Amino acid sequence: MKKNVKTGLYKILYSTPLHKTSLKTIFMVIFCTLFTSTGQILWKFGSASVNGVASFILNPLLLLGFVCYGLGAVLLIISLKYGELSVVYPFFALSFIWVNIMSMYIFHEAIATIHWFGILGILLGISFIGYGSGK
Amino acid sequence: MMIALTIISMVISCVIGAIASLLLKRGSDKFIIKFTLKGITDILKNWKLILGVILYIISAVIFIIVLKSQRLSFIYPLSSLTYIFITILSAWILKEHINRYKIIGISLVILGVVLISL
Repeated sequence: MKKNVKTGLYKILYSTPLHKTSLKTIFMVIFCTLFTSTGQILWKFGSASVNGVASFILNPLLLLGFVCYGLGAVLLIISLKYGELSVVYPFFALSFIWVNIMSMYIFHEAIATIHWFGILGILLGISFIGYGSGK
Repeated sequence: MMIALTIISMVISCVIGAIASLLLKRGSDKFIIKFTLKGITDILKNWKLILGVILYIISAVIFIIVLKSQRLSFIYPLSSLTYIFITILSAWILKEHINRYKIIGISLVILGVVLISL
């Protein structure tokens, strides 16, 4: 009888989950997605002024974007070292959210209602995955 | 015909991307950042890491080629197949525990990606 109490909703609400993928690792993935999204935005900005090989190589925005991608890749590998692949990977969906939010501020692109629902879905989804980690 | 080709190339791109992630995970065990010559050669000698990066680039190139010919709202939901492949590979090869929370989470993330690309 006592065993039954600790299952279901009770367990979800009151038990502290044993995380196999630590919070530190998850923060690292979040920073990784921030870097790769910034890289994407910089590439979108930088590619507008490209006309020829020299302008491609010497473009500071593209170079900065490349650095962002590189930092993102390093963070990704470190987070994979300490975290589970099945937890770390879904967190990359966060970059969809960052790109949407950055586009809203930089390119003044409005976010449609249906996209807000998508953002909500991704946030809920990664929360579930983070909770399920190490269970 | 175009649609079938798109779906086949996206499935290939997703499988390559999933295998790349698996290789990165396996190669990351030995990954240490050291700004010395040995530190750099150690990373270059880590074939799982290097192959993982190369496969990632191949997967991204296929994705970009497909993206040029098809609508975003069709490609992005297909690209979320990667989440399913990665979950299967994590359970099968890395022996990670997949529970109902992770399955609900993956489904919500995929739903979110589909909605965002509409």
